[in-house]
Parts: sequence; structure tokens; C-alpha cells
Amino acid sequence: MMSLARTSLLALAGRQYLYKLKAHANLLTTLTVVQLIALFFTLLGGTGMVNTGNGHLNITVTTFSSANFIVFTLTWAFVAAIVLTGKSALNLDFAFVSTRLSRSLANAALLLTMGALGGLVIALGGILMRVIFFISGRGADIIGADFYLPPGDLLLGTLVAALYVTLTATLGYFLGSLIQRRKILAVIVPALLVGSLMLEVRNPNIRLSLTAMKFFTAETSPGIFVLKALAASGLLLLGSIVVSRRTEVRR
Amino acid sequence: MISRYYKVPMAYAAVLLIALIAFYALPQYPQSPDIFKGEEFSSLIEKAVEGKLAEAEGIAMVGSWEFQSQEKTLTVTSAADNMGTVVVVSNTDTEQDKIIINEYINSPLIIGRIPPYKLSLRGKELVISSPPELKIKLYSFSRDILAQFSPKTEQSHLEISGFLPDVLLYLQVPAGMEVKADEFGPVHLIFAEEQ
Repeated sequence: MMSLARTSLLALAGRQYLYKLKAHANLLTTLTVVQLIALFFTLLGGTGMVNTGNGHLNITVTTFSSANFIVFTLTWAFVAAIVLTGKSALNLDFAFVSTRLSRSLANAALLLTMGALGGLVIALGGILMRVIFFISGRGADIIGADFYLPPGDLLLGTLVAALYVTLTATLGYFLGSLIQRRKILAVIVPALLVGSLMLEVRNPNIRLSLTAMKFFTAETSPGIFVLKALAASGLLLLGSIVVSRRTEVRR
Repeated sequence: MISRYYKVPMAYAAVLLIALIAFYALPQYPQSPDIFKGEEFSSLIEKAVEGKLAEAEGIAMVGSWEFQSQEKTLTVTSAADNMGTVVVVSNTDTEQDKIIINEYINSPLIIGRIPPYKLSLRGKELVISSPPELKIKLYSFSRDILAQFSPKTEQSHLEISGFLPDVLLYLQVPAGMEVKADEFGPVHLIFAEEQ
């Protein structure tokens, strides 16, 4: 029997998004575990160290940053986004009536949610690291003035981190969609990624992924960075939608 | 009822929230002067030679000694384990029969952490024993992800580690007293300009 009830696209996508959010609740647990591992490694040895001496004095300066939180969270987002394109995640789309567009919108909202949560935990992880460090009684040994993060910087840091996580998630989603389209790409894509990285390590004149990364990491204007990240994420999402047009049939 | 999937994330979210409140409620934040930003050691020596130590910025006195001596000569020696020690000698500022030595370091952050030298006067010989090499552990924080939007200054201690705090001894002796040291020894005597 066909339903005569009509529903708007956004309402449909919204319901689907909420459903997916609940179905993928385990991603929150993995994100938390990833954060705790990053915190553990950061507190264990910092993220950088310099040692210098002149016979009278030997000074070791250990630097603490959110680098571990960033790397671990980006890895989480990349892997989670690929998993979202997998068969089991795809089968969730058939739990109720939906359209291709509503599914794409729901997935895009899910990736944006991952980005927002990832950015938030990266920024707050940096604060947690500072508080733990401070209460451990080493406040007097801190040099420089970057221990304090003004609230404005924290907000901007959250936004920038969220955009990096979203960018990574949409890249993972795009690659996952490609792999779903042609299974052979499951071998070719990682091989190309690893191969290009090895090539770059061996030959300093070849800078493929580094150039692509620098497009974002070397941007010194926050406004232009936001535009770049949003545009790239949008293009990757659009590419994913185009690629997955023929992979909607339940297998 | 909270799903089992939400228990761990919610507990972590609570910890993050508490950390956020605690961080912005701290009465004051560590903001020590940069250890690598004291007076350059060569500049400190220059000012000591010119008798303008009071004008040097970012220096601190580690120790001060006074000895009585009626000798006409003074030989500055050091314990065998000493590394190079710079001694600036001035023979204009003290009273008769009095030897005054001040130890300075060109980084206020080090003050309180570094023990002073051990000095003793044995007849005509001033013996300097430096404390064993002091190991100091310090910590710095980075602006993290926002560093890419900052001009590249003061970001990395790795880039400015060429400068290290060092110790200078300022020796004031009575006019007419001859001061000498072993030419090839670890003590480097530099004579201050006549005032």
C-alpha cells in the first residue's frame, strides 16, 4: 500500500540524520577513546623538545601543543567517514523511505556534526591538557606567554579545528564513495596514497600531498582559510554525491 | 535512559566542561619571561667592563662575597671541574683591603634555581668552585592550530636556542692590587676600563 502522506525534503533528511546519529553513536565513544589516548601521549612527553647547554647550565624545554589531539582526531574522522560509506552503513538508508538527495543531505549533516564535535574536543582537549599540567604543580616552570588562551582564540581555534576535521571527513567520505563504486579502488586508492607519500619522502622535489596540505595550512588569513575549507569540503561532498549515484541499490 | 554508547562521551564532556571553567577561573596564568631573552652575554661583559652593569636589562645577582686582604697581588684560580668562567676585574670601586665579588646571570628566570659559586680566599689565591652543571626542565605551550595565522615570531624556542644564560663574576679589588690568572686555565680575566 502506498502512503499518501507528503513530507518535505528537509524534514525527511532531518529524520534520516537523527536516525543515523543514533545508529552511529559508537563513533562518539571511539572519538572519546581517541582523545584520551592523545591526552595520555601528550602529558607523557609533550609534543616537542629542545635541549641546550653550556657547561654551567643544561636546559631542556618541552613544548606542549594540541598536535596529538589534532592528528588523532583527523585520523578518527577519516576512518569514520570511510566506514560511513560501507555496506552496513548504507543498509541503514533503507530503514525507511528516502530519496537520494535526502540521504546525501543526511550524510552531509552527519559529516558536519563529526567536524563540529571533532573541532570542539580538539580545542577543549588543549584546555584540559593545560589544566592538568597546571594542577600538577609545574606552573612555575612554564616559559613564554602562550599558556593562556583568550576566549576569542579558543573560539577561533574551535572553528578552524572543526573545518580541518570536516575537510578530512569529507575527503574520507569521498574516497569511501569511490571505493564503493569500484571495489578495485579499495586497493588502488591506498596504494596511490602510500606510494605518493613514499615518493615525497625519497624525493624532496616532489611535493604532491604537501602542496595540497599547504594550500590550507599555509593560509595566514582566517577568513580565506574558512572559505577554502568550506569550498573544498563542499566540492568533496558534491563529488561523493555524484560518485554514489549508482551505488544506491541495496546489495 | 542513557545509551551505553553515550556514557563514556558524556563523562568526558563533563570533564572538558569542568576543565574549561577551571581554566578561565585561574587567578593568574604563568607568564614567565622567556629564558632566551636576557641581556646577551657579550653585551653583559661589555657593560661590566664599562662599569655600567646597572644599565644591563634582564640580569640578576646570584651571589655576593666580601673578603679582607692586605696582599698586593691576587691570583684567581678555579677548581679542576670548572668550565670557563668569566671574571671582570675592577680596581677602582672598593675600600682599601676589601675584595668584593658579585655573581650575575643574564636571565631572571634562572634566579632562584641556580646555586651560587663557592669562593674562598687563601692568602693571595682566590679559588672559584662552580656548582655542578645545573639541569633545568622548563615547559612551553604553543598557540596550537592558530599558529598558522600568527606572524612567525617567538613561536619556537628551537629557532632561538643560540642564546643561553651564563654566569659572570664581577671582582672589585683595591686600587694597586695586581690580579692575575693562569693564562690557559678556565678563568678568563677581563679588566674593566678605568673610571
